[in-house]
Amino acid sequence: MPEEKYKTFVVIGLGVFGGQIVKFLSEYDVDIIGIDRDEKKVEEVRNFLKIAIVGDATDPSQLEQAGVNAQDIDVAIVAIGESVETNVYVSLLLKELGIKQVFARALNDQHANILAKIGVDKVIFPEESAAKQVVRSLLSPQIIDMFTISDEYSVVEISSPKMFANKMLQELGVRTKYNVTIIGIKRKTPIIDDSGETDTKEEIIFLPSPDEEILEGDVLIVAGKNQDIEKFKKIVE
Amino acid sequence: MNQQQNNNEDLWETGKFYFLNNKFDEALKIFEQLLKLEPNNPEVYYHIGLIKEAKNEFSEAKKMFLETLRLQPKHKLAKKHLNKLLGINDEAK
Repeated sequence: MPEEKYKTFVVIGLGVFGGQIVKFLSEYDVDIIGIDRDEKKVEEVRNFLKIAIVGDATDPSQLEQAGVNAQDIDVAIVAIGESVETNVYVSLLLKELGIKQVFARALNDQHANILAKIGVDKVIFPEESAAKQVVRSLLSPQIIDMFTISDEYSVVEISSPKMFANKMLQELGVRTKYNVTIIGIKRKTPIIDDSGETDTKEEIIFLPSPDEEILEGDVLIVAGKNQDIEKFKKIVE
Repeated sequence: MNQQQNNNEDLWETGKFYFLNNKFDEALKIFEQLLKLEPNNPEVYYHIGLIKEAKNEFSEAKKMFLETLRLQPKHKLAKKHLNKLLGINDEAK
């Protein structure tokens, strides 16, 4: 596994969102400290944590005891969702401690503005991101997954249309015609598994060559400007 | 073994052969014939589910995996594919 840019994380607030952050982080080669007042929440993710603390992150002495200081922590994630006041206070405390990167969860726009003013390095809107994702998948069923790179650019996973089947990428001329780039192909290959059962195996062809042939059922990973992706979507509907 | 069983076995072989060779439409036709002959066989529904999933027809695929599990609640592969389509990861099962 490649060495990670940031090595030590503290996640404060271990509810649903904070807990997921901890689980995803634990897939990387990093150390995670988790803090929550609620012992039950700490227990749920204890196995993913290097240090698990049941405590009050608004108390500077408890943060200090947990090893939360500018020398030892690369990134602090404030995932507290129950109280805007506590979330802001803890974020401020972490900035005052000189933590290099403080990411904080915002519960609404006003909250986000306050977090920006106190100098957090990244404001996270988990509910908004999830809501956007749900609406997109409802309104564009051909889009399987999507993530936004900026306000202007996105990457989407999209079912390849029938008319693309058995054609090489260079024949399709997607970039010239639609101004988007196919950066990957997800392919489900039918297999017989070790126990003799029929199954499928998913493979990803990353940065496919121009002579790669699109097969029926392929999922195209497409990058481009949002307006161009919208146009491309229409032709695959 | 009677003639009917022989015919069904031939259909199973042919259907799997088409599926494994990415001939999804041909495979689907065969498994739909099998569905009429073996309407209570969970494996038929599972295979149709796999084909539908391979064709990115996810809503139909889910129905087929659900039917497989109705007939055989412990069908591990149908459960695995259904969970994937529903966005449930294996840890959450």
